[in-house]
Amino acid sequence: MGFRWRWRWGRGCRRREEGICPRMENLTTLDELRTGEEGIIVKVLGNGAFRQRLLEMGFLPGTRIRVIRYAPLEDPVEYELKGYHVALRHEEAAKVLVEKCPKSS
Amino acid sequence: MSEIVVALAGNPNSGKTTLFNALTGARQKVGNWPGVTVEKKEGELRTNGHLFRIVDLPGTYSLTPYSLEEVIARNFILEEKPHVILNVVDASNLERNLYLTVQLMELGRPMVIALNMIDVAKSRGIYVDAENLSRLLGVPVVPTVGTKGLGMEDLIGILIEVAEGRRESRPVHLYYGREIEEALSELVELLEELHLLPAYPRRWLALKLLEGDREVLSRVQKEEGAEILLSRVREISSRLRQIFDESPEALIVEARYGFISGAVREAVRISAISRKTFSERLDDILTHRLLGFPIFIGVMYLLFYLTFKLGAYPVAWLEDLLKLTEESLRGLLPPGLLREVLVEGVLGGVGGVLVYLPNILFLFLGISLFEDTGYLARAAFIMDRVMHSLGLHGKAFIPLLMGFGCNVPAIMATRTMENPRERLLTILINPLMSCSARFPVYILFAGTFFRGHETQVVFGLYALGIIMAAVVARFFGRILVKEEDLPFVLELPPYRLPTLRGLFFHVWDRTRIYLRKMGGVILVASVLLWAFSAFPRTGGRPPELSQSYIGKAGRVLEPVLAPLGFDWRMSVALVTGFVAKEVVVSSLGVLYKAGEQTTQTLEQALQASGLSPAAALAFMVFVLLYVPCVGTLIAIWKETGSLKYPLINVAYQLILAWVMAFLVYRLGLLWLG
Repeated sequence: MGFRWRWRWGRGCRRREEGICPRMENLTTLDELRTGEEGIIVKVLGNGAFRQRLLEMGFLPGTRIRVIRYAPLEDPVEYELKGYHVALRHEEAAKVLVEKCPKSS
Repeated sequence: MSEIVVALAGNPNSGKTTLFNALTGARQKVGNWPGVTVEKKEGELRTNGHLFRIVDLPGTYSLTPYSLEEVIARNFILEEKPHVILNVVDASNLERNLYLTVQLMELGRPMVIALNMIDVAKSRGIYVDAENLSRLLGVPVVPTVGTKGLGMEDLIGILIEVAEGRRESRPVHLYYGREIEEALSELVELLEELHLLPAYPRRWLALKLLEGDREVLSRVQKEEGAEILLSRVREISSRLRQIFDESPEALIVEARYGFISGAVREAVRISAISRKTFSERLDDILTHRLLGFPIFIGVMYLLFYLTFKLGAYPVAWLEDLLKLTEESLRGLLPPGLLREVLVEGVLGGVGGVLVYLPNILFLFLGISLFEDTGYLARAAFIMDRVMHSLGLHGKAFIPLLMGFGCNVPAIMATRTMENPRERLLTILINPLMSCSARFPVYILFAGTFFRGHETQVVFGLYALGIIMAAVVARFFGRILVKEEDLPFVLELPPYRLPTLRGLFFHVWDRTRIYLRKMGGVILVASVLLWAFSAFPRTGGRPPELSQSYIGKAGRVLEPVLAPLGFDWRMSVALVTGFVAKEVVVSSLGVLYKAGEQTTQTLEQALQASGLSPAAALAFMVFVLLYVPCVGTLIAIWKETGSLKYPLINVAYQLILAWVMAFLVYRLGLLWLG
């Protein structure tokens, strides 16, 4: 068992007015999202300073995050959350669990 | 006149520096925080009977002790107890900026918030109700626009009122939820009972213990009776973990953001503007998947074009001025030691460096432009993949590139890097970037021994420098104290139009440091080196270079360098190259008796000396890799704040140069004959 987390059922897209997406059907990691796609953060994996720093930068469960673009060499990736833009490398984004929202909105 | 100490705190990109400049003007002092490489800036402000000492704390996103900057900022507030904390907050990015605010509020000092960049926020449809925010946080909030100097008077007035206790600034206590609050009050009581670390705010200490703050824990451990407390902390932590299935520190972050989003909901009105901002549209082009790279290379090319082509004119004027001064000195002073010291030592050494000041100014201007507009973050974004493969941050790219011009401003440019470990690494490998002063050596030797293949040889040398830098970076990356695994989190702030004032301050800041710190030591170093080449005297006249102390040193070194195929003259030239790499060529000119020191005759002299192409190649490799010049060493010393690092540079580069030159020489003998 690699890691343990508890599903936070209440925190999905549904609770947010702006997004409607089915619960937990689309659980994936942040690095799997393509340009323009959106997700709701479910959990940040990893531990210690790494996890703490991401949480402090606003990568909290329930936060909406959008992929702005991939860098010309594919890595890192620019995201938008909490009204600001930030870039993460793939290896870091892979530790952020997200619930992908359908593209329709 | 009473002095009011103000600690200026804020996120990176919050406009903190701009506000600092607007408040203090030119009355600034730049130094390092004691014992560390982080830059410390202090400024003064005098207004009707009040003297402010404003200390610019490092820009940080948080106050957890994972980075040096954050520890510095926190300890300054806790230990120096400034009269007021001035927290600069970007109104257009309020939520994340308030995270630091909430942490600052816990430090138990009076605080004032400068709600900065309200103009940017408004243009994006974000309206912040300052009064409401002030009520929610319990501290005065002053709207400001640092770039235009708006709101400064209000800010100063309120700072005075708060410092004198005429205006209340009592940060509210955050409510962390029932379980955590119970834990906190229990710990506060226990701290009271055991009388531990009485100088620190109780509630803050309790919070840090729950967070498992390394720094606080290690401090508590040194106190008497700590074990009772710590075992209780462990119990409480594991209980919280059981209840919430989450670590206490994460719960605390969530609670803080919960409080913040409540405050933002109440104090911020957003009129829906969902169209793309200008900055986002600009980024669509500048960091475009296909266009991003070519544009970036174009911008870099422009930077160097400006630096070297436009800089060449003022450089020529300075050279003329220098020549004029030299001639008039020769005319004014009688021949003798004084004239020699002034002309050859001072003018030759300091003048030789000063001449490149226009180039360096252009480089600084370019870097400041990148920084102030926000393009620097994009450059890091574009280049990170490449840099990451060397164990470096994307931001290391520009200082390394600048190294091809001159290592001194390049090392100073590492100040744009926040992570001290990566910064140190970038500084250590910077001298391996072949600076322009090494170029004349390549021209001479490649032109003499590899005619028709100069391009390949010179290109190969530059490539070797880069490869060595990569190897050394990986090597040192392993040895250097590894900080805890911090994520790569690169904020991409919106593009901003730089202000002239801001640019001026930026360039002036760097130039001032360059001149003051480099100037003095370079003067001493060049006079010393001159003395080594001008003594011992023979009959009151300067000796021939081979007979001087430097020449003798070269001869002493000859056996060490002989396995590389170098003769004593090359050894002497290498020693003189310590002043500046281009000096190697002029020394060789003197030593090979090439008359007027022109490259042409020196080439013939070199060819006639019977030097093998393999040795010539080894020599170029050696010049590429061996010791940094005096100026670079001083830059390393000043920027790292320690003599250890220039010494490390000398040591590893000498070893590297010797080994590589040896390999090149031996393999060259096999292949080139």
